[in-house]
Order: sequence, then C-alpha cells, then structure tokens
Amino acid sequence: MINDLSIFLIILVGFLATEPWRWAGVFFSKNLDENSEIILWVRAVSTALIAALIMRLLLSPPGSLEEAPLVVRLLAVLCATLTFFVFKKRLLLSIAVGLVSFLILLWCLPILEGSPI
Amino acid sequence: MIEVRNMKAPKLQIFLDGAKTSLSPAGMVLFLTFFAYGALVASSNLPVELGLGLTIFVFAIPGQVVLVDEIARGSSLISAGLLTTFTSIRLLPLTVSLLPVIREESTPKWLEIAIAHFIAVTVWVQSMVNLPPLPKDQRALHCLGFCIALLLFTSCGTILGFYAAHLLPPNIAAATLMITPIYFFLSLRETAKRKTERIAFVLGITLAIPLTIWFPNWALIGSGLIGGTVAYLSVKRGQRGQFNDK
Repeated sequence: MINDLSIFLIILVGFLATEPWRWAGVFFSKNLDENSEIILWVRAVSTALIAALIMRLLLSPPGSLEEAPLVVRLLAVLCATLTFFVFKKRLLLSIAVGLVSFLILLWCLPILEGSPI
Repeated sequence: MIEVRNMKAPKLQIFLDGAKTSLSPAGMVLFLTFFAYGALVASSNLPVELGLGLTIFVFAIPGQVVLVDEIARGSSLISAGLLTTFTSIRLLPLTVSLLPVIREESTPKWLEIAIAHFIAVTVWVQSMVNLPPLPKDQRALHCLGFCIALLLFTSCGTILGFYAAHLLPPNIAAATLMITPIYFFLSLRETAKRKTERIAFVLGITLAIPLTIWFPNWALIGSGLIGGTVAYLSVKRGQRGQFNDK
C-alpha cells in the first residue's frame, strides 16, 4: 500500500493536471478561438488517448476482470454498442445490456468449453 | 423538467431547483461511472481516500481513470501526470463554450471559478439543455446546485464502488469493471463529432493493440500522440487538397 504523502501527492498532481485548463477557460473565454489549429490537434490527441485507454482496459484489464476471457470482454462491448444503435442511443440501457451479456457469456463459457464442438 | 421561476425567486429555491435536475438519467449514468471507478481503485489495490480525493479535486472521470490506472501499473507520477494533463485539456474548450451561457455581467468571479471546477462532459451537456430557458440572473446558482448535487452523487458512487468491489461475488465485481470501457467507448464515439476526432478514435483503438501487447507503458501516450497527430494531419492535408482543386 502507499503512504499518506503519496496519496496527497497523487491528488495534487491530478488537480494540477486538470484544474488549470478550467481556469484558462474562465479567463480566456472571451477571446479564445475554439477552432484554432492547436485546439483541434489537442482534441485529436486526447480522443486517440482515451480510445487507447479503452482498448488497454479491455486487453489488459485491472483486478478480477483479468480472469474473464478476452473474447467475453470484447463481445460484451459489442452487445452494448449494438443496443446503443438499435435503441436510439439510450446509454443506461446499453450499459446494462453490456453487463448482462458479459455475465451470461461468462456463465456459458464452461458449458461451451465442455461441449464436443 | 425545468421549472422557470420568476425573477424574485429566493436564492435557495433556485439552488435546490438546480440540485433537483441531477435526478435524471444523466445523473444516474454519472453515479454508475463513479461506482465503476471506485471498483477500479479497489481492484488496483489503491486506498479509498485516494479514489475519493481524486473524485472531489479532479472531477473528470477520464483523467481520474488514466491517473489511477497508470499509478497501479507502476508508472512514475510525472508521466502519469502528463497523461492526465493531455486528457484534461479537453476541459478548456468545454469551459470556454459553456461559461457564456452561465454568466452575466454581475456574476462574481469566484462563482465562475467554482462552477468551472465541475465542468466536464456531463455538466456541459446538461447545462446546455437546462440553462438556456432560465432567466440569465438565475443560471449560475441553478448550475451550482446541479454541480454540488453531482459532487454528492459521485462521491457516494466512488465509496460504494470501492467497497462493492471487495464484497461482491467475483463475477459481478468483474462486471462492474466493464462499465468504464463500455461507457467510454459509447460516449467517446458520440462526442467525437469532427472528422479529425473520428479518425483519431479509430487510430487510437487500433494503435493501442500492438502497443499494449509490446510496450504497455507507452500505450497511451504513443497511441494518443501518433494517432491524434496522424488524424489531425490527414484531415488538414485533405482540406488543403480541396482548396487546391478549386
């Protein structure tokens, strides 16, 4: 486990990495061009970064999720995505379907593995 | 639904009206997201104080997940901080575009800064919908009520998720860890409206596969910088090509 000082430092780093962007937004909101080249590039980088984070969370997941097979993790995301498009982008429903399909697949897996096919 | 009160409505009433708007599907999704984040903190063997502290002082889930995941994987605090910085830069354009909707001439600076602390995707989307029908002098307080209620939701979510991860049966605990990737996947796809961002989204996902397998420590910054820059340049070059064709 980590000590109190590390906890404090991590929170401080998180705050300093985040809050100044909001302050900058407050102070420059009267004369900042949202469509400037630098902002477009930054948005592209942060989109790709979060997309990569999603993939890393699925490929090399934390904690007990690691024990679920990769194919189950990916299929659960697929089920959620399909629900999202079929049911007019209802986020809560899609997440619920993703989780239920994850549990069903997890439960079915030993049966599938045991089958002769 | 939003109630529009008359100009002389008491301040507390406006604040509470704002707080009430948090009882919505968006508020529930946010609670669930922070619940999943709390479970992630627990599964990463990090303490609940850290998880809660980040929820209160960072209040932007992508940055928090990046920071927690990087720390759990043993990255240095500096590189974890730099990655968080990159995910948080997107708050700048959100703040810039939302503040003119919230403030009026007499809005005190401290109130603007207090509200800005809560600006992230959920507050941005909800405020863009909920605030414009209100009189301008009520918006800031209404929004503050909404934000404080969300802070309460997200803090409870973090704590409950943290302890649930230890108490729930392993399969269910594993399922709670699926919430974050599913939520990020669906919402990032939705918010990536520009062509540049859509290309960056696909490139980020694709590049992350080999990078996570062979260079896990560089997966995020590598996919982010390469994928984002390639997406930006390809769209820019395409635009220039169009101009030349004319």
